[in-house]
Amino acid sequence: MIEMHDIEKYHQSGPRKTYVLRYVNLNVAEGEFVSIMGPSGAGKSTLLHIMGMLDEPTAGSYRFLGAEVGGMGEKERTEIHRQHIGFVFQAYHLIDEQTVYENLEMPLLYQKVKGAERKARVSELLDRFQMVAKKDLFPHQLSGGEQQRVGVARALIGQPTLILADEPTGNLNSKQGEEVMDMLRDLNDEGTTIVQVTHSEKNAGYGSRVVHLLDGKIEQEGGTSHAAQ
Amino acid sequence: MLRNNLIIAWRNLMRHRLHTAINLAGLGLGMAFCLLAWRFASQEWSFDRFHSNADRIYRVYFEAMNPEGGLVRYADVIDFAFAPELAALSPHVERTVRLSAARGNDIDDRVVRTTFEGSSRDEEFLLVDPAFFEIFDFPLLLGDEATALAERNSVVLSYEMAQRLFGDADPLGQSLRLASLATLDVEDFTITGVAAPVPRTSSIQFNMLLPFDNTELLYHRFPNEWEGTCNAYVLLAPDADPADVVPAFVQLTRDMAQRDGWEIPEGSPEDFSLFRLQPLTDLRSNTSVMSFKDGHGVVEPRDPFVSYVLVSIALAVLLMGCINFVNLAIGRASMRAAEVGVRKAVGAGRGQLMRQFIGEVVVLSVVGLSAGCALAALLLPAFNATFSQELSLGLSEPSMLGALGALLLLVSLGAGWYPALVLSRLDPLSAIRRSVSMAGIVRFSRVLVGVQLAISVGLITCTLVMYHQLEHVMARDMGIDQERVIAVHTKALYDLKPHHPFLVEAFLRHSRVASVTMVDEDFLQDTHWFDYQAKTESGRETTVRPYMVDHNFVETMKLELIGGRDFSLAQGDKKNLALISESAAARLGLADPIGETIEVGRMSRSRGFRPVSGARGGGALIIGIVKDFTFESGYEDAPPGLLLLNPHLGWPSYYSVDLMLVRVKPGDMQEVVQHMQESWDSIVDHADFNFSFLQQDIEAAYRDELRWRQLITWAAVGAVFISALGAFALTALAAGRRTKEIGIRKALGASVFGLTTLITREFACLALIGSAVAWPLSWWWMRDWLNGFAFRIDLAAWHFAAGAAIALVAVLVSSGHQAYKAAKADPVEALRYE
Repeated sequence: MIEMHDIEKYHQSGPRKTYVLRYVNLNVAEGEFVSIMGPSGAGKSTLLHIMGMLDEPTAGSYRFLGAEVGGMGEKERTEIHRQHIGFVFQAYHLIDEQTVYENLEMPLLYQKVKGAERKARVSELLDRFQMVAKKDLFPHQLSGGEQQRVGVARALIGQPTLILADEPTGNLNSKQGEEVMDMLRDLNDEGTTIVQVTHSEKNAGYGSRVVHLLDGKIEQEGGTSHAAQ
Repeated sequence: MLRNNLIIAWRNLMRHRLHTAINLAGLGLGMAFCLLAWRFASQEWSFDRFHSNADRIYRVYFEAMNPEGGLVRYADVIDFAFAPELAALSPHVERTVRLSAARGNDIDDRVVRTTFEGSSRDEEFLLVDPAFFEIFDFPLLLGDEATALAERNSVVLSYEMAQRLFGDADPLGQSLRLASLATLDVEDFTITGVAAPVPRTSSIQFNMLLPFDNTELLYHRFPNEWEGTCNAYVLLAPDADPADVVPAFVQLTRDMAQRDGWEIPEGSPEDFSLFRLQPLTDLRSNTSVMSFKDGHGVVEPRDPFVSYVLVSIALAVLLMGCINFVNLAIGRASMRAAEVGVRKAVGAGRGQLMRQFIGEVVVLSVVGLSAGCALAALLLPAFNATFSQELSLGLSEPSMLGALGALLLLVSLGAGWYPALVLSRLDPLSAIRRSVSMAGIVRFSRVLVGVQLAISVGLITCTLVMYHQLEHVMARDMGIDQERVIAVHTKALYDLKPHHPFLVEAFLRHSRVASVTMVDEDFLQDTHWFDYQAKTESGRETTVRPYMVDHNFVETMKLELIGGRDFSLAQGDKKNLALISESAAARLGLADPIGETIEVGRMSRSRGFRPVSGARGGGALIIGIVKDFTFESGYEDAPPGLLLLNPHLGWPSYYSVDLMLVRVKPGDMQEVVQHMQESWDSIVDHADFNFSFLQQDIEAAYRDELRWRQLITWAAVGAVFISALGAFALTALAAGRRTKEIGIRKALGASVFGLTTLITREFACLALIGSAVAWPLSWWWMRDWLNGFAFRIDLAAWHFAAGAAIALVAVLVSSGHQAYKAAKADPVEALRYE
């Protein structure tokens, strides 16, 4: 699904190049659950953003489902986004002015999904994430765990084939964190490809593969205990 | 999607109530100004277009070089025989109609005494040919257009006059007695029609229509002679062009030359003609064709420049409101960045985001427009009063709905476009991280603030100059005391038995009438001054403004006598005596004018120097000197004044008195007016008591300028208000962005005052830059405006400095308040925020 070849990302300030990513080669196959680990500043999030087409690499080739992303226009990228990718953020990033229901509905509006189907899909997810009773509340009226549940639900509503999660449990306590990770695992079991960035060995354990990133380079790749099971 | 966008927009507006209020105030005010300006301008532009033949109707005017050089155009002096002759000569002229509302240029030539069931009143009239109803769209409510003016003794009343005389009763067939004030002939007329109310957008207005053949009755002129004064309108054939009429005009010009005994100037082109056609739709806006005070039923044209300035000023105020919106929207961009980032991350396209942000402006604009309509409705009475209009908002008219829609579109796009572009262009990543670079945006927003301040400074400067100049000219020492003086216009008493002494006696019977003076010419109503010359025995001469007065003039008008003595009845003064003003004496080179004799008269081209009646037979002896005085406005340099004792005053006939000036002692003026009215009615039975207050007569000259001043003042107040609101909100935003910086500075020992200055300094700089832009523009406009006055102030540096200072103070106060609040905040709070 994802083929990254010699991806580089650097900031040029004067003659100096500050590398964020260097010679990153990474392939992710459909149905995988990959965890990217590494210390702060290793370039994890940047890598994730490049995968999600929110950011562009300075050099290298990135193919998504066989298509070279580098040559695409904004419209095409937006289209891939809508159809294939769902994002989960550490800080949830729900829209403050919108209710739970409206936050979930938003991606469907951008995809121009018809009203009846929108309603059906939002209702289904509300049900699945046990948020039906809270559908008319605004984000600030929810707990952190609830907000992240909405965040995950929103990532799912477009029925993406790839979910990119940037430290999805970073702002949650351990119990809430486990809930979210369980959700992600269930999704992966259903066939959704997942790439997550995490600090936590424990969370990495949910995945099938761990990629260690240090100073912008991939240090080692390996299976996890979960995969071994 | 749309519904969703609207909901989001509404919630956003409600969440930022302060910003919403500021935006609404600015946009609402701007829109209200625009609505009023649009109503005014669209009325001006729609003048005379309601006639179904509007594009085929033309007015004939006369164009010639006047002897002093320069082109003059008159429409009001067409001979009676002209129009019928033109119709006979040119096959391209389908119909013609003549309109005449006055025998000459005097007010009393314009009214006819009407008597109905014993009560009399002076009414304005308009003589018209029967084709009037065919050419113009002035339908009759009662009566038949085809026959209403067929009989000479028929009269068609305006709707207003019919209402006044008959109320709801049927006036058709009723008899009305008309008496000409000019000829004193009396005849009975039959009412044959009542016209529908004439639209305000008609240049031609009338009170009472009479068949044109009544020129004999009213003017003592035959209706088809090569004499007289009227307007001639032609209805061209459907396929004709104005140029097709030129051959007929050439013929008429030649005939005229032959009739009047002059030669067509040598070297004139083959088609030399003195006559031109003016489209009917040009009547309102063309100020170059000169007219009598009220023309022949044609209201005074208005310079179209007025509409343009009005609309420009309104748009400028609206622009300022939009600028506030843009600045607040992009100032908030960093706060909304996260939202933009998330929306993009879940798949929003740029177009979709732009639509969302524009949607927010549309919602705001709709609310702003409602506020604007309400405000316009509130301002309308004041606006109407200022411009002597009777405008309504007419919100249900299709054209107005179109204008509202256009305004909405203009504001939504004008204000919404840039913020939408900026917000939708935000890079999703930096947006999510809230690390949006605001440098470019802030720079643009500074430019906008600079524009706002420039408009404010410009308008304030103009306001100040206008106030200063008008106070200067209105409060100038005219050498007379015009307060508490009632002017009685007595031209209607002309040629009749002498009523004046009885009137004076009757007026003086009221204990608070201090004195009454009589002047031969009504210089308050007749603006046609001749140039008079005064000559000394040694031959020095100068232009003067002579007033032929009686013994009470100096006392009544409170002129200051600085040498010699006043005219005195007790000393048997009768004629050929003069009081000279200082300036006149100086210009004549008379160091000691008392005892000198001067000749006063005017140069007639055919007969040379013609002495005026007060200085005939050896000139007038100067017996006193008065301080300079004038009754004229400050627009032109008035020649120095000169008083001549009216030789007729000592005689039994007082016919040569057109104006009486009555000084009233302190107390209720209205009561004295009432007394004078009653006195008049008991002595004069053939004309109405016609009076005015001298003070108002003199100030009436400044009516237009006072309107401008009023308008610019409103605009300036609105502009400053909007700028101050913008500064207030922008400072709050900037302070919010700089919380950390302020905290660090404070922790390092910066004072609250120092910090406040730091934050507000930006506005001070922008105000200076804005002023630098505004000054030359306002200087240019005000210099132009001041040039209209002979008696004027000089543009001074302080006008401009004060304009800038006022804008600066307004902006600094509103911005300083926010800055102070931010600077006062606990630094620990500020730093913890990160």
